[in-house]
Amino acid sequence: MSMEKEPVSGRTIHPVKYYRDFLAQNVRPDGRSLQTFRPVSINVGSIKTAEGSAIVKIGNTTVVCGIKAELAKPKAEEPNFGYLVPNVELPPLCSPKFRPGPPSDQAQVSSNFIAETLTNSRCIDLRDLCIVSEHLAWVLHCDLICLDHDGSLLDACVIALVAALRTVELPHVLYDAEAEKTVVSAEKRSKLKVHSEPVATTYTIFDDEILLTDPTNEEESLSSGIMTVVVQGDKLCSVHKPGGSPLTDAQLQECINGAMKRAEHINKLINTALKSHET
Amino acid sequence: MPTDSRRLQGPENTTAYTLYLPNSKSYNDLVGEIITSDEKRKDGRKLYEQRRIFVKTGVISQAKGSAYLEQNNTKVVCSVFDPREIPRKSDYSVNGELYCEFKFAPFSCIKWRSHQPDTQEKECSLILRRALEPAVCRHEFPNFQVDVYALVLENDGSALAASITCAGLALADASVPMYDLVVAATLGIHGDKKFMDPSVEEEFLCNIPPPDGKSCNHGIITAAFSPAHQQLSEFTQSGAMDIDCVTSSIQLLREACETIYPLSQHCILKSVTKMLKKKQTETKLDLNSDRIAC
Repeated sequence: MSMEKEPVSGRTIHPVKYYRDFLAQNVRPDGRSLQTFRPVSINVGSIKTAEGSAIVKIGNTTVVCGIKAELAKPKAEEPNFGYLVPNVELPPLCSPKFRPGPPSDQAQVSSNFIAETLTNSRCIDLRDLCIVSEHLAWVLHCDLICLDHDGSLLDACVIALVAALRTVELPHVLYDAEAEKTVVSAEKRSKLKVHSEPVATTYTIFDDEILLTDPTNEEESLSSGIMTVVVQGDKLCSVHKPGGSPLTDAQLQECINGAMKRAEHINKLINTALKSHET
Repeated sequence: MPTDSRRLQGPENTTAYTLYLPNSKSYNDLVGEIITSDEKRKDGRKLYEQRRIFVKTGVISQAKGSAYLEQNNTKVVCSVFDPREIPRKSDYSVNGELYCEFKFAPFSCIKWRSHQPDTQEKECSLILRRALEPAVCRHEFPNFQVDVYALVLENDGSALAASITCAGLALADASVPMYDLVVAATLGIHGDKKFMDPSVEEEFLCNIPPPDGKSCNHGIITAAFSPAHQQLSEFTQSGAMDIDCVTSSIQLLREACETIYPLSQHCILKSVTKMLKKKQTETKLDLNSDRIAC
């Protein structure tokens, strides 16, 4: 069986020019306009071994979030705080760009971004995770695995994480400090309190001037700059712009407004997914 | 566990909360839960009945070939990439290589697993490679390696066999030249009972020898099969059992694989028909419209 030969086209020889021709007509090769977002689909609670789980698809980009709860002693310097440990994994499974071995730079940057988003948005109060001060606290391992990397990775990660956190149900724990005995009752469970719902939106800058919303992998690799805006409710949470082409004030404001509108839509989607999971 | 400086670390000593659940079951309770008196298992299956399988190919857009398999609650996704250069290799080899990686997602098992592959996962990667190598035409891509990555999203027993079947499908979906599709099945043995396609609780039971001493047979056997050539490509056994037990198990596993094989074939047939239909519509459109000039 011979490998099929791809017809030689502009897309492979000169991708930037191929894109420029489309953008001159205010449209992208996949048919979207410059401001259209890809369809998002969310599914929660499908992984029974995890305390909370969510699978999010933005176009082709797929991210799975699984949350496992364990018990540990709180840190000496923060005796009534639990632990929340997020980690983004970009396995070689998801794209030919990644090779097996230790986490790539992109994975480390994404993990840090998620950790900062959780702290900045005050999504989870770590004091809620403490069971008995100085003795016992919950550790929530939030593992985000990318199954398919087609751009807008951070958007999908944040949505998956928030959706999964909202499904987490922690069992009741009784701790006897004198006897140092712990008893867990798996039947009585209480939902984790999620105080805010951050939503991230990614934009790329093409040719130093054109703003593209929700880029695919191809668009991200051809762009001259990338930016992610995190919004919660009607407040701006953070803007992550690692280098790249400069933006004007007006463009930045446009991005923030677009992110706010999208956040409403995404939150409605998450609520629908959660409701159908409960029934 | 060496600290991984590239990942965000939780506290060093964590314990799973399942250790502190109040009721610890006795052996008889455990057996009673798993199999009722009239030889029916917890989920209603008979002893030699397999769970229903759902397979789909072409699930990962960035990979050359991919497949997703669900066997009740066990969920496995596998992706295969085009032949690439073998890293760290200077001399020429007449046969291509197959690089396989098997991984449990951290949230896939009852206990949280770390991100770094442990010895069990490394052993399973080796088993995966041994199962798939005989079926791949390695002389077709000399000096290159084909990467196969399998990720278990949820483990409800028989994860390794499910990964082998899934990887076989993903390789076929990636148009890697093969002699045959590979399918695999698992058998759990405990005393005189044999469980086909065990769930996680049944696997746990099969790893402990029966205490009454009548027969010490216990263990789990995973076997991979190429039905078209009637060849066993991989056979892994854990635990301890008589030789008669092993020989009768091979027969059972062979029959199980023969039942799964038509499912794999049907799945590949569907994806090939879909691709041909898509090519047909694309050529029709090309004849009518102008191509964008480069």
